[in-house]
Amino acid sequence: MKGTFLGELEELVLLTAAALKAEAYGVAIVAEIKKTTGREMNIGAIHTVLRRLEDKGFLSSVMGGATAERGGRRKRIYTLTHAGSSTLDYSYRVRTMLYERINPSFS
Amino acid sequence: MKKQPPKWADRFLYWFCRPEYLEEIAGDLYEMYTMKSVEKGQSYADKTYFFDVMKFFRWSNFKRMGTMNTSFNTGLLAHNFKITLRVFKKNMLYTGINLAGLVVGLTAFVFLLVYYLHENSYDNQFADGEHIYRIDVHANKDGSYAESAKSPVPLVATLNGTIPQAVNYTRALPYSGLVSNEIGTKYREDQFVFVDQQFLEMFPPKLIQGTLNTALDAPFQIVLTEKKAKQYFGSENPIGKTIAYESEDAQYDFTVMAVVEDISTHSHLNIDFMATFSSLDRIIPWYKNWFYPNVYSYVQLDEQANSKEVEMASQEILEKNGFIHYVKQKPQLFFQPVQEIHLSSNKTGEWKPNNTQIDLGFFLSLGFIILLIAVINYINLTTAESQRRSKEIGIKKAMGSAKIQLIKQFFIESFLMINLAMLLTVVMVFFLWRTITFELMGIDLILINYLTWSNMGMFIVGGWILSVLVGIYPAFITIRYSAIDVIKNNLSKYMGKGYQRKVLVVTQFSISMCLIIGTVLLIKQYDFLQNKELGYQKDFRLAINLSDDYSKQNFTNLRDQLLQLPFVENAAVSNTLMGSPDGFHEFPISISDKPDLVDLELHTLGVGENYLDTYGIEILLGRNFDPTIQSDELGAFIVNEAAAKLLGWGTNAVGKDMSLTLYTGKAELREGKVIGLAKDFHYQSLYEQIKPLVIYINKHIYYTDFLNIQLNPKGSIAEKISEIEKVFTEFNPKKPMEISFVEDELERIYQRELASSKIISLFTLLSILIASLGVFGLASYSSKRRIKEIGIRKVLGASANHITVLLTKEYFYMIVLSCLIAWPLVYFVATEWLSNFAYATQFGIENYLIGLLILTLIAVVSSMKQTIWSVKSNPVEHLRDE
Repeated sequence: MKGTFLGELEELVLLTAAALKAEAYGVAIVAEIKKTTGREMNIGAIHTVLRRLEDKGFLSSVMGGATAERGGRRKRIYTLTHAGSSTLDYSYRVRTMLYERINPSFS
Repeated sequence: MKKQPPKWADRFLYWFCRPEYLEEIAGDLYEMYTMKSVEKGQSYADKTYFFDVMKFFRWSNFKRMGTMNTSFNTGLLAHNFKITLRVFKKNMLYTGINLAGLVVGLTAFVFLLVYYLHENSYDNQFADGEHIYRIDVHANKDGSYAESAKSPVPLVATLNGTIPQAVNYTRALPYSGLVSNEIGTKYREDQFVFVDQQFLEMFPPKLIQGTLNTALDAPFQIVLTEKKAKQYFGSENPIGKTIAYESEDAQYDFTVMAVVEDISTHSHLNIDFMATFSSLDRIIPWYKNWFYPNVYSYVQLDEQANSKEVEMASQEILEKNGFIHYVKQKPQLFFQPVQEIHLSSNKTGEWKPNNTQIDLGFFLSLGFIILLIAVINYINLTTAESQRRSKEIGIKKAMGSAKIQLIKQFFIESFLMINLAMLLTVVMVFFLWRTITFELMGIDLILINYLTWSNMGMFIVGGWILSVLVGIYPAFITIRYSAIDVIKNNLSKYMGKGYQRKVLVVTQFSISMCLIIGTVLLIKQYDFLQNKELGYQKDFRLAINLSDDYSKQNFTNLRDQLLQLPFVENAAVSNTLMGSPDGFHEFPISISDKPDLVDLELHTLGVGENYLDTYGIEILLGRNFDPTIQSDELGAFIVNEAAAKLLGWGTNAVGKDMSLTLYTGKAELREGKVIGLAKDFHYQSLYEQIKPLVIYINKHIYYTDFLNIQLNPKGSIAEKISEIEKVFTEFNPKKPMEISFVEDELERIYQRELASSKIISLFTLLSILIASLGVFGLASYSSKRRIKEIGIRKVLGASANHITVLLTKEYFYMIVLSCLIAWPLVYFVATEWLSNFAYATQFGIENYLIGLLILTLIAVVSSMKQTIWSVKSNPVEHLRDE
């Protein structure tokens, strides 16, 4: 189905959001990607990607509690949906399968 | 206390960002700000904060208009249409004015665009057109630079076969003659052209009948254009029939080989008949000379060839193998790409009068300007009108209409209006096509050729883009009204001082001012060219064309018989007509007191003894030619002041020795003395400065082309002409008399100025008309806006005069402002344009004042109705508040 495929950036953001669990929101995701891959992401682009992933049904979001370091504003916390986790599983399987064909000693 | 991020950047974020995203975005930004200020310090965080904000400045974060529901609502659309029709119907005057402005603007634009496209399409129909060049000859002679479109006949023969990159050559020589189908009437045909067979390969015409492959491979064969085939043979099949061509006292029969479509309409070529080139060997055996250029030479290069290299190679060949006398004049060959001739070439002997890029660009911008004026009008009228509809909008808002729905309403109105205007424009274009293109612009175009899918598509898409452009402004102005203010009739706070409208009107005024003064300038310069003191008399001067050898040899009989007529005051032959661009042949001159002047060539004029009297040309010093002095005929010269100056004689010219080498089938040397000094006269057009001229007596048949006659101005011209015709028919019954007025011939030279000034005046008139509609709209708006103020003034005793001044003052300021904008612009352009003319009119301040006056009149007249309404209306009606 069109629209359920994951782009490279989308997959990275989805994985990061899933890994951060209850702390997945804009700034945290940018910081996490910086830490794990060294890539400097544009915060505006991350917001757009998160929204798009939510439209596709891979993430769901709720407004979290207000904190002082955000000037009293709430953050939007994203959580992985079932569809999201099966898409991640699927793409992991495809990759592993292909990779084994290149290098059978893998895993 | 903790520092806050810069306020202004936050304000920007709040302005553009969608409210539903604002909290999380602002939160993220704040968090990043805090992090940065901890890690890298406060000032760094402040500096980069705005860039972080900009990272969110993207489409998906922008505020949306109205509701988020963008589904297509047909019910609402139908409602919008219904309202639109009601608005149109309810307010016929406003709709009418608006529509009229748009239709006139669009129609003018379409015609000017068609003209532009036509002029740009010249010579594009030939498959190899890109690689075909006309070989022009440029020469630097005696300090004056001359460029000729024509070249000597032997040039192509000299070059032929010497340059590998040149694939094909051809020549074309127009030679006028009397043509008939052997039994019918004879007509003079000027575009009887002698061409090589290769001409049909390089400029392939569309064949209608016959064959082209061998059409011109033998002498005395001919290819006709469709138009001429019809003229001479009607509906008969002309193939194999003969066409009689009469020139130089002999008649020749040409066999018709083919009929082709006219190739001249979109081309610099001007051809009615194409006859075999080699026929000229018998018709005018002397044509193969190097003495004067009389033929158009063309070369086709192969696709990779560099034209400049070939040009230089050709130049070398010419200098090595060309005719020695010709090479001594140092001619420079110039390869003129044929597709550029129509818009960039303006040389001596052009086949057709050509246009210029500048003129054409001017016409196109005129089209855009008129369209702009119409658009400004539409915007002005619609915003003014929207005030009246404020209640409708207020109620809609109160009922919960979203902004987007109101905007839709306005867009649908402008869309319908523009579409209606486009429909009417098509009708107008259809009806006016012939009048405008043929009679005004002088181009023969067929409307059907322009009705292609791509043109129609472009027209429709263009119109739709236009409808969006004109819809935007009124729509956004109107939706600003708050519902409460509208219903409480409290609109004045949105009206402000109406600056936007004023800016638009000043723009219109400035454009109109430029156009008015520009038109005055064109008319003045044209008038100036028509009425300039020429140094000779052109009124009541006629010229009979002596077209055959019999007339030429026996012209003295004709002259003497004509002089018997009581109303003929003078008569003399000449080899060319006044104003002729190439009839004043340049011949080598030498003078004994300056032996170092070699290779000097001056304009010459071969005449009969009475010529200077016939035209009333003044002799300053010395004497005129005298028929009783034998030696005058071969050894006397009259020079003009310019020649005397060039030769260093000044007022001592009379009595000097001079010799002239002219061409009468062979080079003929004449040695003699200067007997008179003539006052300078404009023997060429006023585009040219007066050049040195040598006048001498010549009765050789090559030089007796015209018999010039001076008539007595008293009595009817038509009667005189019929009497002259009687004399001519008696003298030479075999020929029709061809006679022309010198004045008409001169007018033909300025045809292009006349045509341009006609086109420009018409379109100026149209744009002024549209602009005055705009003023009308603005007047109705502003008098309504100030109606309470006027009411109060009246109650307090203001007089009608006072009110009128109050309302008109506004326009006065705007006109003054537009003068400040338009005048310097016009001054600059006018000075530039007039510098193209050797003789230009004085263009003083009074012409600018004419523009001011006309514009003021227009403003006063078009705002009159509203002013009178304001003055007459009862103040009670407007001041009562319920």
